[in-house]
Formats: sequence, structure tokens, C-alpha cells
Amino acid sequence: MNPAMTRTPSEFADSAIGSRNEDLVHPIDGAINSLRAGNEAQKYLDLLRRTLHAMPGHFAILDARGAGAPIVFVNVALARDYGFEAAELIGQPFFGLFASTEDGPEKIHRIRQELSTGREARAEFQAVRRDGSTFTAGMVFAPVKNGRGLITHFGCSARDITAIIEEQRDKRALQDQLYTEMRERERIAIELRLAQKLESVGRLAAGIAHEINTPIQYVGDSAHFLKSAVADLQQLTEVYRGAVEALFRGESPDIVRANLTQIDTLVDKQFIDVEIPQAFARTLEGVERVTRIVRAMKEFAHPDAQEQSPADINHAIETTLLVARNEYKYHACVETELGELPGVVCNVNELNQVFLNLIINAAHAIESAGRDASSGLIKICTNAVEESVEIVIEDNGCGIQQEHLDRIFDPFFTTKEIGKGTGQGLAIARSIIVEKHAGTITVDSEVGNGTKMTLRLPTAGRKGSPGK
Amino acid sequence: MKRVLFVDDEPAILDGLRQRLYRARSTWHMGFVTSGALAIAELEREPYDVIVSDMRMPKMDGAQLLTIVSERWPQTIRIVLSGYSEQMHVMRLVPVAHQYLTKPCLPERLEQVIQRCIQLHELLREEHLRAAVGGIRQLPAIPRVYARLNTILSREETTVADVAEVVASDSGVAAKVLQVVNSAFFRLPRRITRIEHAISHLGFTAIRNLALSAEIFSRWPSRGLPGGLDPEEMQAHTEAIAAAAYALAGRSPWADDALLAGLLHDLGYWILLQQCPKKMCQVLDMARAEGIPLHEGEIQVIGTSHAEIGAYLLGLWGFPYAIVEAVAFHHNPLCVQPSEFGVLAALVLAHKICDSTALPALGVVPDPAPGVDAEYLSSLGAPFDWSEAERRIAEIRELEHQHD
Repeated sequence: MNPAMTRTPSEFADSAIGSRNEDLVHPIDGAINSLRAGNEAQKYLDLLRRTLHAMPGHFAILDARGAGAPIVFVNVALARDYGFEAAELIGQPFFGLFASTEDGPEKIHRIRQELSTGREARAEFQAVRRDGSTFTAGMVFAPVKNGRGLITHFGCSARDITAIIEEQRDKRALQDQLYTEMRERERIAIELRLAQKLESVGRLAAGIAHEINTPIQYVGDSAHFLKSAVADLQQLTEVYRGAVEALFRGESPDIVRANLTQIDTLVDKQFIDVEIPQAFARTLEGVERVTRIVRAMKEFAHPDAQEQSPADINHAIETTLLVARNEYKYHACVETELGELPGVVCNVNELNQVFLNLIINAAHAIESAGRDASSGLIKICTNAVEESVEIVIEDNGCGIQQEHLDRIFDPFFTTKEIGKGTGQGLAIARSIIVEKHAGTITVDSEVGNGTKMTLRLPTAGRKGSPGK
Repeated sequence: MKRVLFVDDEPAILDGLRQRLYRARSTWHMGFVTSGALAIAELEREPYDVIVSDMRMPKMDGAQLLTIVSERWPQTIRIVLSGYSEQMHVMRLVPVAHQYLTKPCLPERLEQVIQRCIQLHELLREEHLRAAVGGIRQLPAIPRVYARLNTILSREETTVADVAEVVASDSGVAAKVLQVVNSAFFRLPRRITRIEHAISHLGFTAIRNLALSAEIFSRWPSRGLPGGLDPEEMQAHTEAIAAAAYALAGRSPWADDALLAGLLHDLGYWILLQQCPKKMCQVLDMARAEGIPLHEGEIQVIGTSHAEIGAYLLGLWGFPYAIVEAVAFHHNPLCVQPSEFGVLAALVLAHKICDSTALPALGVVPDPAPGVDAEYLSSLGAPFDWSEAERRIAEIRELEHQHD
């Protein structure tokens, strides 16, 4: 084997460029000339040159000692991208290609400084083509030393990174946009939840006002009656006392009786006697009813219940039913079968909202089916099942169309007319049950027969469930 | 004995009412039923003078019940007593309910309202006339007013004053707007008599729903009114009288009522022209032939005049007594024991002075209004004399002409 073939490429390069022709203006050409003597070396150099020319990236060798780093070699890709023939550029100051750009001189200065200390240097240049157009070039420079350790040349490899930069910029913009959208979505979700809550509170407020106004009306009427009844009885007592005194005075019993008959026609004692106990009973019952509603309302919208703590689900359902009575009483009767339940660690405030949404949906479904309180039925059952409790809310309303079943938990999905629902009720119910309480919510529905919603809540709450 | 029927699906409410009104049992026969269907059965057995119904009831709600009542027993006065005040319900009730009360109803208020409705029977003694007025669900509105309201309510830069001006230019629309705003549903601290206030309380959307609703207002047929009457001219007369009455009221606290009484005093004409156009033609012919004022012709042909008819409807709608009285007696103020210078006096004075200075319309002589003179004025202790009254009216007419 020829000894030349065993040399490493770097030895070739060193001997070709560094040691023999270091003082020539065109060292590579010189080297090539001198290497022609050795066939193997010649072939090797030729390969090297053809390879460099074949590469799509830019490659250049620059004279470190000339002004502006004169070009010793450029490959085809570099020359072409700058709008030249490779031969045209030989001997031209390489940095001259960038000197006219805004921060060019500054960058050139920095690169030369770094190179002079023996380190490589990187920079992005606005490169100017022959026709004046520009592109962004990402460049790496490395100092090339001769045998005595002196820097004689710079190697430069570079490429047009305009597209990459644009791509990066696009990517970043896309990321920013995604991020903004995500935040916007979160904000909307929070607002919607609040809006749904406000909507249900608003609906309830009107209903509760009515639920309270009714007993207030009859309590007021009964009290009003008691006031006049007592006045009448007092008058009666006065007249009777007068009659007794008259009899004692010795007046004729006939005259006394005539007076009493007259007052008896004015005051309907029989009516008063029958009605007074009823009026008291009704007043007390009305006050009790108002008290119950007010207490339920307070519990329903318990403002302090932010944390999850053990709660009585049956009691929560009863409270919600009381508060929402006005929403369903014209459309449905409610039947409850509330089994014995362990306490469930939960945010009862949020669960109340879920129960409310489901009860209102059931009432609307029954209304859509054209039923009223005589045939509409909402059935609510609770049961303890293993480590969880199950709540089933069933109605005999219009049911859910098969093609809607997949979408009922989507936010904004609603089949109700405008103004009757925001399409948030079930989306929020799902989020509260599944995400916040590690529970499940399933739906069985048959068009024309009704809908059954089954909720399952782990008694230990979210913290007790693995993986959450 | 007058008969009052109460309808509510909550038995406790009915029991409460029965007890509260027990002293009225000597003057009213009262029925209490728990559903619309039972109410209709009860009315079929024997008609009632007043029905007081809840709004939200299962199966047949208050609006449905009152609609049926307005068709089958139009003479029955229809009152709603409800715990609801959603605008949706109010709008459904506007055409069929005469008055709206809300639960809880202030003590004595219910009794007063029923009592006043029953007293209105004194204004219209004949049952068929009460039925004719009571059955009215729509009032005619002048087409131009209709169109203008439609236009300005859809413009963004429209102000309350703009809408008020248009509303005031049609007695029927103005009366209805005030009736609705003063219904208990809006829970106002005091009665509103200014149209501007009514409009800002109701809001433009409600005004639009109200004024442009075909169920509440009908349009005059385009071929015009019977007997060659022109709604525009009638309205111009109405507005002139209203402005004059307002000017005479000066700064008194009842000045707004005087303006309103002026604006509404001929409401009865609209009703008569809508309900019995043929008889009104007869009335016009008779008045022209015999040289008598229109209202006298009405009494001879119909049995009552536009004054009582208009007052009866305003009374049903719960307008203040001073306005109802002024409208009812604006052709014969001496029927009322004169006590002091007030809405009625301002209206008759305005009527007399305006009519005597205006040309008699369509060959009918103006109401001579006997007894409305300087003496009448001084007997009421008016703060000005006859010539001052004439001067005030001349002054505002001058202003109006300049305005035109």
C-alpha cells in the first residue's frame, strides 16, 4: 500500500496548505499545483474540493492577514447564494460582503477579536446579494493555524437560515397564540361557570320570591283577620257585659234580648269561632314555611363552603328541592327515596348546583313532553354503594335524542330555546362531579320515556381517590 | 249584591282572603276556587262582577283564564293578583287584565281596588255598555303614530323625550303606557302621571313590545273614520285641550293630572268609533240636523256619552280618581259637588275656552257647557279670573302657532 494513503487528511491539509505554501496569495491553488506531483495526494485534494463544492452549505477559507479577510476559497453554494461565480470572489475581502449592513462592522470586529484569541466565533449576518437583496446567514468561523501555531487563515461554514428564522418566528407566534387562547379559554370557562351560577341564582331568586310571597300574603291576610275578629269579639264582650249590667239593674229581659240579637246579626260569632283557630294555624304554618325556605336558601348558597368536607348528600338534595320548588312544581311531582348514606367529602355548595341543574333539566324535559304536575314525575334515589354513594335523578320527560347523547356534556350544547338555558348546566355538572370530586356521571335516556342521570361520588372525596 | 270571584291554586291564599274580607260579606258575595276550570264552571253557574285571579296556575294560567273571561263574560272586571313580575307575564296580561296587583298585597289595597271597580258601575249603569267596554282588548292607534314609533324606536340616537312626544300624540297609546307602568308589577313608589317618566321606567324595548303589539293596538282602517271624522283632527283637538288644561293648572301639584285628563278626555270617542261605528254615524247626523252637541246625541242614540265610556275604561285600568272624574264629567261638571279648583275644573274650562275660539267641527255645535263661567270659577276659589284664564290659553296657543 502506498504510504501516502495511510496519512490522515489533516496531515495532508497541514502539509499542503500550512507548511509549504503559507506565503502564497492563493495557497490552495498553490497547494493543488504542488500536489499534482503526487497522484494520490492530487486525487485526495480533488475529492476534497469537489466535496466542498457539492455541499449545500456555504464554505469559505479566508486569509487571516489580509484586509477584510480576502477570500482564498469559496464553494459553489456560497458563491451562488451571493449571486456570484466562485472565481469572481477569490481575493475579495470576505467581510466586505457584510460591511454595508447596519450592525455589520460591529459584528466583524467582535468576530476578529474572538478569532484572534484562538476561539471559534459565531454570528448571524444580514448578507447582501449582488442584486442588493438580503438573506440571513448563520456563520461559524474557526481560526486555522500553521505549523508554528500562527493563525494564518479562517475557516467559515455558513448557511442561509432565513427560512429557519421565519419558521422559528412563526412557531413562536403560534405558541404565543396558543398560550393566549388557552388563557382566554380558562378565563371564559371561569366566567361561564360564574354566569351559570348567576343564572341559576337569578332564576331561583325570582322563584323564591314567589315561594315567600305566597305565605307572606296569607299570613298577612290571617293576621289582618285576627285583628278585626278580636275587635269584633271585644265589641261583643262589651255589649254582653252591658246586657248583664242591665239585667242586674232590673231592665226587661225582652229589651236586653233584643239588643243582643241586634249585635249578633252584626258580628258573625260563628264564623269567628270557626276561623280564629284556622287563622292562627295558617299564620304559624306560613311563618314556618318562610323560615324553611330562607334556611334552605342560606344552606344552598353556603358562601363559606370552599373546602371539601364531609356532608350529608340527602340533606343537600332536600335543600335543593326546597329552593327549586318553584322551578318544577308546575310541571312535576317529586318522589324521593333517600337511603342511609355515609358522609361524603365534597364541596356541598358545588354539588347543590349540580342537583339544581339536573332537577331543572328534568322539569324542562317534563314540560317539553307536555306533562304537568298531575303526570310529570321526578324521582330521586340515593344509595350507598361500596365506597361511594349513588344518586339517581330520573324523569318521565321527553328524553334525549340519540344523536344528542354524545354532546350533552359539551359546553354550549343546548336544545332549549334561546333564553331558557346557556348550555352550561351539564358541562358544569360533569366538571364538578368528574374533575372536582373524582366521581362519575352517566346518562340513560329514551326519547318519549324520560331520562335517568346517575351520579356516583366516592365517599372519601377527590383526595381519597388514587391518581388524583 | 256585587259578586267577586277569587282564583288561586294555593288554598291557603284563598282561605287567607276569605278571612281577611269577612267583613265585606255583607256587601259582596264572594266565591273562592282553586283552578281556572273551576272558575269557568262557577261563572257559568252565575256571572260575577269582578274576578281576581292568580297568574301562575297549573293547566290554565291566569292569562288564559282572563282571556276566556274577556270573551265570554266581558262585563266582568278582571284583576290579577300574582307573586310574579316577569315582563314576559306582564305583556301577556296587558290585553286581558284591567288591573294588576302583586303578592303580598298591601293591607286594604285589594279591598280598595275591588271597591273602586264596583263603584265604576255607577258610571255605566247598563250592563251591555259595561260588557262592550270591558271586552275591549285592543285600542285603535293612529297609523301615523304607529309608524313614527316604529321608526324612532329603531334609531339609536332616540331619546326618552322623542318617544314621549310620539306616545303623547295618541290618547290610546298614552293611556296604555301609563296603565302598564302603574301596574303593581313595576312596584313604583308612587304613581307616574308623566309620560316621560313612564317611558324611562319601562324602557324602549317594553315600549316597543307594547306599542307595536297587534294584540294591544289595532290600526284605524285606512279608509278613515265613520261620519267623516279625522283621527288627526281629533287628536289635534285633544292635544290643544291638554295644553290648555295644563296651562290653567299652573304650578299646582295636580298639573300633570290635568294634562293627562286633557289627553285622555276623548278616549271614549275612540272606543265608540271602534265598537259601534254605525251608531256614531247616526249620532253625527242627528247632532248636525238638530244643532245639538255631540255628547247629547250620544246619550239619545247610545244611552251614554263618550265621557262615561272613556272614564269607565280609565277607571278599570286604575287611573287616579281625579282623572276618571274629570273625564266622566267634562260635559256636565255641575253634577259633581264643586269643592275646589282642580283637574275637572281645569279641563272643563280649557274645553269651553278652546271650543269657543275654535271653529265648530264638521257642522256640529260645540258643547255650550252651561254654568261654566266666571261665577263657577270664583265659586271654586280659582286663583285667577275668567279673563286671566282666556289670556293664559291665548298665550299657549300663540306659542304653539310659533312652534308650527
